[in-house]
Amino acid sequence: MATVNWDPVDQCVLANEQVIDGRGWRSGALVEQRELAQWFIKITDYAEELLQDLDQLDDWPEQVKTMQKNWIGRSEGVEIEFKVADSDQTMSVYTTRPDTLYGVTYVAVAAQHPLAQQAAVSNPELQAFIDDCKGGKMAEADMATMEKKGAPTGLFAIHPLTGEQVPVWVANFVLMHYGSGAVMAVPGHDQRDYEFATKYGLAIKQVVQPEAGSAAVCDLTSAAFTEKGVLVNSAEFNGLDFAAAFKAIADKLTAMGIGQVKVNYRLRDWGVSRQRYWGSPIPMLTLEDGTQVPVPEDMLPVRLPEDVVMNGVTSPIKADPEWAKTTYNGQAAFHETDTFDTFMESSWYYARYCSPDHDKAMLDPAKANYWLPVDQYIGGIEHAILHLLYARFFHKLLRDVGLVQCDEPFKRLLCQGMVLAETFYRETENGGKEWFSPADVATERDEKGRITASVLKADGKPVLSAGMSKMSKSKNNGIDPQLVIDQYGADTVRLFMMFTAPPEQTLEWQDSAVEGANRFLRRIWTLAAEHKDLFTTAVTAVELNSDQKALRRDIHKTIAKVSDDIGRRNVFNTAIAAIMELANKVQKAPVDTDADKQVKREGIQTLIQLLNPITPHLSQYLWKELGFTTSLEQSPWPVADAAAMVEDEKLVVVQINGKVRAKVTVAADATEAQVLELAHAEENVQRFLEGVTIRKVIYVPGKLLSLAVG
Amino acid sequence: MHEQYNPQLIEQQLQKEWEQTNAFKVVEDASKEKYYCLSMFPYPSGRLHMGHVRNYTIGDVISRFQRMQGKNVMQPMGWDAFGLPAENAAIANKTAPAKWTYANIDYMKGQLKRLGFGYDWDREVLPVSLNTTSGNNGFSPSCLKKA
Repeated sequence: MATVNWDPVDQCVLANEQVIDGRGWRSGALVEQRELAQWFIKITDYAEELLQDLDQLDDWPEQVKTMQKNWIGRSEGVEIEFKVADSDQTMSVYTTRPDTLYGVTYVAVAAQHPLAQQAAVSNPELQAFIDDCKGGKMAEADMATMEKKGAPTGLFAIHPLTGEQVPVWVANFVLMHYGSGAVMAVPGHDQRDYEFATKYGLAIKQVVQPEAGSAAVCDLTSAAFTEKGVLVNSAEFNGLDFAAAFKAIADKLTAMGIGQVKVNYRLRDWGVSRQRYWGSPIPMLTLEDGTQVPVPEDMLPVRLPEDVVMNGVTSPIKADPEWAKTTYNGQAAFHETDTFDTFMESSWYYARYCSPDHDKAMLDPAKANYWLPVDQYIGGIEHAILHLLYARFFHKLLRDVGLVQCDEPFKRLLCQGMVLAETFYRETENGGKEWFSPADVATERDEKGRITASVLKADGKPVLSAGMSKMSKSKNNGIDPQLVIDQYGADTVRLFMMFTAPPEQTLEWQDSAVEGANRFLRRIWTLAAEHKDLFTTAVTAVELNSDQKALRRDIHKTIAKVSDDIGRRNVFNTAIAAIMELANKVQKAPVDTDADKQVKREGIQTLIQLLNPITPHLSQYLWKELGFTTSLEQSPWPVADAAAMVEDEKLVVVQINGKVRAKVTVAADATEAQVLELAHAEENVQRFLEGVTIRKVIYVPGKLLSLAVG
Repeated sequence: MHEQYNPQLIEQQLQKEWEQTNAFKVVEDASKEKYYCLSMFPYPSGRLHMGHVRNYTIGDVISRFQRMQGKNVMQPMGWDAFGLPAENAAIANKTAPAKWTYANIDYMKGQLKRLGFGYDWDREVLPVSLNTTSGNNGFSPSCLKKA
């Protein structure tokens, strides 16, 4: 049996990760606690490895790694045994702050703790409080913010070192399934314990003081002092700092046989039973004598019937008593009718893609080992904990049964930002808001793009603007991709998506920017169409003039930038900006001479190649139109020519007594004397040198020639 | 060559060609560097939303870029087909979750193709089909406990 999160609307058990602010992640219903027999998967056996291997994931966002680390929640502490006064019972508590042991003034237990249950038998008030706790919240995240409530059990615990008696309370913030369901309370140095003690008039005792020279202040009249410091009021441990006190007290408790150092994890085992139909049946059998066994391999898979009639929410495989009936080794047996949490399937689908038709096992190891790990995984940040932790866990299981070799499933992770759109509304008579689709609203904007006026197209009357917000049904601001594809085509949508923002950041939907993307593609089309002849007439290689060299330099610098931006940095908007800039230059370049034609052709061809990942239709269509017979995507990516990128000429500023008097173009490797000679040839320089003597010459190569005269 | 850019015409023509030639099918090839690019599979809720489009465009741009680097690129797609919404929709519409799910998959697959994403559709997986091969629940018993 286990206490589970029960969603009363979806009639289903939820994992802790699926309870958000005390509500079901899909239904939004307030979650209740229920006792049910459940199947669990022992993810906790892998807690340490899941934590350690985060260090291998160099190409994951730090944020995601931090979230997983916090979710696993490793802590080092001491498990301490407290005796119950006037009884031979004991209870164990776990603390990460054994240095505050002398500050314990009460012990708090969960409502389901055996001591609480026991005390409640003769204490109806306590029983009422315990019953009240059942409707409470389950997720640990809620514990910090909810109102702390408690009730005394009438029992006392004996402090293991001082021998003093401290009261045992039932508290709603202690969870039975985290640790032992009991905590030692140190109100002087834990804020939650402090609030509880203050509320119920329990003693508050200082046992830690700020270290000498520390700016921290311990004022227990207003709050707990939660920082680490030096021990006071702690008998022989006075004066020790946190680390020394942790060790000394842990050693003493260990020697006394009532304590041991223990690593604890916040991560719980994964409850996978769901009482709903549309999932994978849990492959377990219950025999007539009640024993439970895995479904033997030759009976796998357990198939879910698909041709069913849904009658209310009861699962058809539960409603039909025949479905579960089977035999196991000649005796009658029953299939489990609960189904797996849907996160089971998404935990290993990435591996199944490597051998989707393999019917002998989950995977074909040879194929899986060729493809895995996934080189690049892309998805939403909302999966940072749930899906990505489960998939990492499954991968390690797959590895440990010999199906895959690598330790981690996803080498590099990119979490794309949300897509936002403008929101518009009108106040309704009952004080609510009626939201209008941005597609139905006409807006006027100032030069900075801010909305200055907005009216509903249908009635021409104003609507209020509520800014950019994630596309959602509730705000009616979703833009249907299909409509945009129908209007502009897929390439425009793709270009807009990649150009408008870096991938991890939010993307603001703007019709004008979509139109801009479309305009750019039309320009590329026209550029290619108008210069198709460049690709049909052979031009022999010729010497380039400086303008032509400059354009070639830009072409190859763009190739280098785009290759690096997409291939290494996963930043696409800057790559596209560089392509657009190059397109401008190529478009303006003349086609008068053979050399002009040669460079312009190289420019157009490069643009088409660089755009292919983003706008494959346009690129591949033009590629063929321009006469290429090989497939664009199978052709090699253009290589940046280092020689073409060398700047062989520099623009040098000529200053006379600190004032700019001319600019001269010089060879990149020109000497000071050569630059000076070129400067002397400038009319304006001659004017300012007339009748004066040059006293000093400073030449900064390729940049500046400074003359001091007088 | 048309003077005007007509995306509807050229895009659908190319998409048909990609489909007919199975242009993005890959097999293991030890002589080539492999690249496995994966976007999180969608829940078949009915229609693609802009969040999907962004996610899958990024994946496709990376895949095509890597393919142009000469790598053996696998970019698969599938469906996170099980779950409560299908069941709730089926109850509301008095149909079976499977039927509702397959119809949505059909429609959304068409949308993915219309966006020009280069998937190896021979590798398409949906948990429903995982379930009918020996995979999906064949692996789990060894690590299950009842509590």
